[in-house]
Amino acid sequence: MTTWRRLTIYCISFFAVFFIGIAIDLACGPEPDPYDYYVTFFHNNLQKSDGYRPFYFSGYTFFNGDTYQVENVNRAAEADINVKEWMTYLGNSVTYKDVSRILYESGRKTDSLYFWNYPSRRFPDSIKQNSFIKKLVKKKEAMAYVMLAKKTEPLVNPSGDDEWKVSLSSKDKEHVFALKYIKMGVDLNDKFLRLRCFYQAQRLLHYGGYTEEAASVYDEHIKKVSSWSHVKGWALNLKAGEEDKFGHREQAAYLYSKVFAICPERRVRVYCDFLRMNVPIAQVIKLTRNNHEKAFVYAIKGFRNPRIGLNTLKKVYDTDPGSEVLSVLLAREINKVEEHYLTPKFNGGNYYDSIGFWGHDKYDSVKSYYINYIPKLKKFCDQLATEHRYPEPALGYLGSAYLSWITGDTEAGLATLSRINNIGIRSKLNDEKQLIKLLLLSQSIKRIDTAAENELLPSLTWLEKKVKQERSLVITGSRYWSDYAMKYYSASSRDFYEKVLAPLYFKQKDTAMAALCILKSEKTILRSEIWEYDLGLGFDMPFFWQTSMHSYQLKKILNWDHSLKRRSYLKLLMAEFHQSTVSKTFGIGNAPAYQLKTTITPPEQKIIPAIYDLLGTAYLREHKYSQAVNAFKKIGAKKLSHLPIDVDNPSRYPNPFADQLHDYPWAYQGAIDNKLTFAMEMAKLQKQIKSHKENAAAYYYKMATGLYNTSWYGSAWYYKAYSWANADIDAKAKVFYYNDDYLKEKGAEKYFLKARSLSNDNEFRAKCTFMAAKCKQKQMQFPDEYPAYLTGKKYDLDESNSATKKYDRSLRQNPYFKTLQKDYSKTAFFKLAVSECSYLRDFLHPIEPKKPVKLKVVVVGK
Amino acid sequence: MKVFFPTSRPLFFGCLFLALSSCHHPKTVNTSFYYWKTVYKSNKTELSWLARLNVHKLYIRIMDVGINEKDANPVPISPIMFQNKLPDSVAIVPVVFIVNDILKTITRQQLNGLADHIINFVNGKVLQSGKTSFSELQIDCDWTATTRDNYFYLLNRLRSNPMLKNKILSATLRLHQLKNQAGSGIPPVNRVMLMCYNMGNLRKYGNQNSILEISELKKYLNDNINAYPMSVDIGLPLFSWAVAFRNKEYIGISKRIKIDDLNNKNQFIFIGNNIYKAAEDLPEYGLQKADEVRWEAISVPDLEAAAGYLSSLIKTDSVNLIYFHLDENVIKPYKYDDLEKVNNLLH
Repeated sequence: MTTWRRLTIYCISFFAVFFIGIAIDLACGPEPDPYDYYVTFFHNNLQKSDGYRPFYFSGYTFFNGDTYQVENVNRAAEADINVKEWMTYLGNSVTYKDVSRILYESGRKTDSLYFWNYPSRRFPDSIKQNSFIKKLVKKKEAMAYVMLAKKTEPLVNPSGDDEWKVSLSSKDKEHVFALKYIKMGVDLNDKFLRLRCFYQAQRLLHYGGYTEEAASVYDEHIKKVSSWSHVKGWALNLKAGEEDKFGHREQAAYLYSKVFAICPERRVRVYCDFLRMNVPIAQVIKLTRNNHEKAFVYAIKGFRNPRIGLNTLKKVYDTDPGSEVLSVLLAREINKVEEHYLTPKFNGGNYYDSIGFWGHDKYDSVKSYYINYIPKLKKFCDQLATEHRYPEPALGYLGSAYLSWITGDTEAGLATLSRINNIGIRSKLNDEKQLIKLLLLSQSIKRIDTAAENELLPSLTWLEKKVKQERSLVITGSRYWSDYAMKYYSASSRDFYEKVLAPLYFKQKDTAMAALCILKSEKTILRSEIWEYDLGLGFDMPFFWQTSMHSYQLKKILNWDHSLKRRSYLKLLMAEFHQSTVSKTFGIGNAPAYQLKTTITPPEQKIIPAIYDLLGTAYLREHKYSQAVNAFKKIGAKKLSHLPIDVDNPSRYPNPFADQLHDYPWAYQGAIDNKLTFAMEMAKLQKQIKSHKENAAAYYYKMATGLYNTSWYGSAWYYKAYSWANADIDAKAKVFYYNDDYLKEKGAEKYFLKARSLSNDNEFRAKCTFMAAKCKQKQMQFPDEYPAYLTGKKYDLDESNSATKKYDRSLRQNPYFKTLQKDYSKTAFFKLAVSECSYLRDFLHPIEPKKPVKLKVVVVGK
Repeated sequence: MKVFFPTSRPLFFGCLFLALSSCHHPKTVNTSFYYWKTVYKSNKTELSWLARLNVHKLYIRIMDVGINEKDANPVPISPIMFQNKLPDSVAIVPVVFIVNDILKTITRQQLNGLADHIINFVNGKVLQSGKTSFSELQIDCDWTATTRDNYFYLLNRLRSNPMLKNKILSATLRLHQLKNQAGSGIPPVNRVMLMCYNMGNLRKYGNQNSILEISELKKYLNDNINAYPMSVDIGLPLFSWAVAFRNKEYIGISKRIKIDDLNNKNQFIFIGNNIYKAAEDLPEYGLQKADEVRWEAISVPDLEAAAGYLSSLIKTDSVNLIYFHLDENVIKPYKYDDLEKVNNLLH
């Protein structure tokens, strides 16, 4: 191959790998649910209706950053409202589907063919049989209105090629049709149709550019109509736009605020329009006619504020204490406290994964700010509760009790909550009460014993029921952000077990119970989609279980599960152990490229085998190989033989007993090997050491290679760990109980030395010494900057740094090199080792470098 | 119409060109404006500018062409509405802005339909403006190398439409398109309008003016104008805007901020050059406390410098100068004399 061709291939490969890596990083980056990125137990949906959903607090981004989508949802809502109004008007004698089909789904072709020419052209059967049309045929005035509306709709709401039509007379057309509507409206006695006729007239004039005439249609014909129809609100929305066109921005803003109050389906649009007017609030307030209207103007301003502050709440409460927006504003304030104070308090000062559009100040710098704010907010809640000016004082009590919980004042919280006992409250508020009660009860517990468990049990059972109810909820479309979207109690249950209950058990050093809480939390909603290369078993378990559980703790949990007389509390905590799961597996392996296969996993086939996997792995880490064999035998061989993905080499099984001087390339084999076969071989070797002492050296050597290859440095790393990353090397400083073997190779070193001590063969002894040197190298302390360098956080090593120099020196002064030189320099292996390992050569022939030398990789001989 | 010089005669034309340029004749400067709003309403101030600067044609934005999300077909976005007729003394040059993105995935069939739609739509709008016809249609698009073929195909379709017979088809030309002729190509039109604005790095933190800076302009122009194989009209900016930064990172253009707002000391602190700092959270402008705003506006000396530089480059006898854009608020900072002076510099 010519040089340029080779260079081209290298370049293309480099760029492909480089950019694919970036693409994967971008594609797989976390995208937090904007309403589930902070710990919240005070649910933002406590109002009677969900018409304020887009205004719930999310410091992440307003409207989820997608105003367009919100608008689309609103448009659908308007159609829904209109269809329902027609149904009511016709005495519910028509179906929703039929009305919707005629009004919104018939298509321009059908409209122009049949409706525009009615009654000269007869309807086909498909339309004739429609219950809505049948009714209209009998109600001539209504039919006339619908047929006219069909003709005029393209003028204000063009679609397809309509949008390209422009003619000199189009404006006149709108005017002509508007007059027709006005005439029709004036002649009608039917209030429902009259309102619609005038609205259509105003709409045509509005979009036709006849702004003044449009405004006068509203003033003369619509303003005074008393009607609950949303059409009146939409007409008011047009009027606001007309005021804007006249340059009356204050008046326009005032009218937008009125539409905001009465039309949930237009709230987002008019909210944006209100802000677009950019007029001082005081000017708009001057135009309001009553306190109810004033309160909405203040509220709109408040919904814009992502920072804490009582100003809006107080103003709304003072002007209109019965206003429903108070509950939204109050929840927003409490949610802000949860995001900025409660969440980082739980997370040791960290916000959600340190990402987000809204920059956070450092927790320490804002903590006191929130600590000062909470009592003020609580005082407001107490006022709301006790003054009885707000129709649901329970909301005030709930807010107050919850804030007491946040500040750790359990007694006050429970006392406040007890005041709601005699008040009849809505079920949503009652549920919130149960949740706050659970939080306060947990806070009151000094030590969890059977009595405390019994005290918590009713509340936990209630929560379990709520979670189960939410399991059947299917959330799709714009409301779906994550599996927890709209599942308030599932999210609260998840957070309660992990953030509240587990720490209580950790405090009393009950790791097994804490681990159960963590598992319960993580399995609140089971992952519904599984990738075909997922390894399952322990790989699906929480990080804590994978890294921190010893065999005796896992056995304890399995014993609880086996025990027939489990107490109810444990049964509840372990409910997921015996659930069957339904999951969809997707993969890229077979055509079609992306396919979903539904799998039902029977009870006890998910968590129990996963725990046995963790147990067997813990035994491997603890060198208890016979017990490991027993644990792994409880799992199907097929499950155990899953391999980490390597699409090009689907059956590359690791070789855990590979005996090689270099760490890389990793050693693989075609024969099946898994944790069970590995444990069996290690157990056999353990026995043979005792039974065949004459070969003990070879057995120890093989066991040492087994330990080495199942560490971070070997191809069978996943026999001991559940994830592998360059950054793991940084974990040398962290305390995982198996790190001595997994990262530092202390066990392998011990066995290589044992093998050496039992052999008289100098060649073998030389090799054992060299292998021990490899192990010793893994124990050398990195300079501080080295992990950052290895993991790509730092681009260059400061080679003049004394710690770096020291590390560089220690690699070349491995204590076993001295032994090799002294005792085995005559062996053939020694010559081989010298030719393979540059560190050993540097040791034998130290040259003081004139310039700093680039550090070589950690592995001996590489 | 072939617009390239025959390659066999460069010497002759070169000599002729030198001979002609050696004796200086004042150039004729035809001044006009863009009208870039969605509603045309006659406005006294704006009309007086047209009269004072002897403007005989107005480049009126007819619509943007975007994509309909529902069926992925091109649609007119925010077409202009005429509340009044155009004055008799002013001719209309309809301008259609094509969103470059739509050209990325559009099919030839859709382009054929789009060309017909544009012409019919423009005709309709011209009639609405009170005119019976127009003599020039301008297409505005920030085309790139990847969309060039589709864009040029569309231009060719427009040119070959019988309704554009004997009419001029012009296109806007961005500075990068002038400089990078190899990649951008030469649009198949009768003339181009060179947009001498938006040349700097808008997103870079600093006190530069991304709208117009002579040093930047020089990087793009030099001999490129004269080497361009067709007539080049000149567009100069009159607009201003506020560019917002958070932690020295670009966050956007805040359309609501006016210079008077920046001078309100309760809201902004002036920190030097053209940079202002938000004194408090200003949600109405989308700003947080300590966000910085760079005010970019075009002063009369800026315009004069640009005109002076351009004058030395333009060797033709007449030049069409179009200001962006005619709006009472935009034009408020300028006096008639200011723009007359700028025009004179181009003579």
